[in-house]
Amino acid sequence: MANLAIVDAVAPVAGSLATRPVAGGGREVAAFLGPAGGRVFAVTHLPLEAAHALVICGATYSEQLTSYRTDVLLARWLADRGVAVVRFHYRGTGNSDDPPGRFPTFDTMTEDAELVTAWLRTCTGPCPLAYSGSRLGALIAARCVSSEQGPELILLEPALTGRQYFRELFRARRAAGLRNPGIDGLTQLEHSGEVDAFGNRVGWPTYASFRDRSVEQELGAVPRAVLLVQLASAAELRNDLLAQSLHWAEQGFEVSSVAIRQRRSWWFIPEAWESEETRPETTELLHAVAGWLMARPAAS
Amino acid sequence: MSAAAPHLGSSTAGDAVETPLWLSVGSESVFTILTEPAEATEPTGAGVVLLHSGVYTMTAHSGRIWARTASTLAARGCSTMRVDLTGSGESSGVFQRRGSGQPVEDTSAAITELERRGVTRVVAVGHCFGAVPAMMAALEHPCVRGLVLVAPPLTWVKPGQTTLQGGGPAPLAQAARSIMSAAVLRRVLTDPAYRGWLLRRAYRRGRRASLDGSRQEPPRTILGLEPLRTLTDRGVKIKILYGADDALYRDFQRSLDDELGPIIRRPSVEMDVQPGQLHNLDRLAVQDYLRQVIEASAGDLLTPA
Repeated sequence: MANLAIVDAVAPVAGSLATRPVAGGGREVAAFLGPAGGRVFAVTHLPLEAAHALVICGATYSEQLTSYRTDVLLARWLADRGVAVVRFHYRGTGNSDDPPGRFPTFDTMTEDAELVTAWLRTCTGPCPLAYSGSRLGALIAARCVSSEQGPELILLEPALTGRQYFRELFRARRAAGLRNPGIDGLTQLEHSGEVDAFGNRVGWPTYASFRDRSVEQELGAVPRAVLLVQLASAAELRNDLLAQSLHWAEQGFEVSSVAIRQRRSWWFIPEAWESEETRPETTELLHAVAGWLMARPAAS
Repeated sequence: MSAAAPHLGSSTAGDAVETPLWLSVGSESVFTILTEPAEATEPTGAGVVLLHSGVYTMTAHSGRIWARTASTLAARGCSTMRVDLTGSGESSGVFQRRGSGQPVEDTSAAITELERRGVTRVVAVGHCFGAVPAMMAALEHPCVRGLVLVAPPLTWVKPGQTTLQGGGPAPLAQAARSIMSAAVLRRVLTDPAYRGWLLRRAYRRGRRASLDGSRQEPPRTILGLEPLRTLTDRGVKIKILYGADDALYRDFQRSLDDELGPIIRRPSVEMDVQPGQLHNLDRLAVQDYLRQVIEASAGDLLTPA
């Protein structure tokens, strides 16, 4: 186990962070990181002693809302089991400031992930690091993993390519326009440089920075351990995820996959309210991720 | 990885100073972000509490509407506190859809924290369910001078139901009319994904209708009747916003025929109904409209009466 050098070791600017103790002796720290005008909002979940560390690269746009509490519960569940976790809002989303150029891009989102990783490292000291990426965040997590030796990768309902992700986004947007379907999102993006997707401003720079990227390309060919989690209505792993996992396995990756049936859509906030804590699929997800991560070699 | 050493961390954001806070409310830790005017801006003593709609949201809210509103208000000398109600966002606990107890205590704690920091006049803004604790907490805090209720469930609520279950689905004829545009029919024929989504939605609606039909209708009450009466008696300015297509607006209209009507027609109550849907805040234009309303309401408080 690595000794935990808690964030007190980093001189905080007054008012920039808040700490709350949690059961078991750990704590949660919420903070704004980075310079004025370019702050990244992040929360770490710190156990007393960290055997593993995990950076969660969350989903974006309306998917950030539908998966937000799941990420919080996952982080707390893991922290209870000795995993130090950091979650964050990419610049241009949530509580973080806007990035240069106003719209988040692949590069700014990767920088944000690197910043919070460095923060987590100051909190945990050396211990095995993993990244988790949900939906579009899968591409960010894959890039972060590729630039370090060793880290493991968890992919939650990943968008395997940027193009696929935005195709789904525009399709969902069209479906939501029940009474006024409007023009195609991509056409509008090309013409006006931005598009309204469920009350989120999607900019051309974001689209252009992701469209030609894939998880496979960002991750690279160095074999490593990958957990692939499908969170969708289908009970079986769908074809693109299956093909990707087989391809990685052929390359020597240690791939585990699990399909968790999820009734609700990632894109739409459901009409019927349901507590995240009581959803069976959330419980299943927490167990799947924790089980896989805890089975990995821990810090000595 | 070539990460820079983490700079921890400036809390300034333009004309604002942002402070994350966990408030202890009973056994729960309620996460909030306090946004105050930067040093160069003179505080006015005005404050705004922003309450989101429920479990699927967090302090920034949909499209960062709360975060952007807080920043604008700080530049005008107004402090805001945006709140993750218990069980949502970063807060501890399990979300409770109740018109009393934890959500009201969470809101009350946020108002008290603003008062502790020198705020003397508060507007409480509640979106959807957030309107309920906003109203209830306002009863306990004389410093609350204004309420902005965004698509609130001021609706028929059956005893034993939680507040939002009171807002029923659209009548079948109205739902059918809403999908019978030529563009929608064309898409039904040409887009399998859309067709699938529509069929699943219809199935859910049908299933819900059949379940509701098999139950006996219990007597109903109106949520918000007494709080609104008391608050308007006290002179609190109340703005109520709906979208014409919001399901909760249909329920609200039905309630107007009864005791709620005379209260809503009092001079301190202002109603505005926007075309389309307001409830989901899922269009940028709707978010901009809401920001304007909130900023105007807070503007009324910038100078002490």
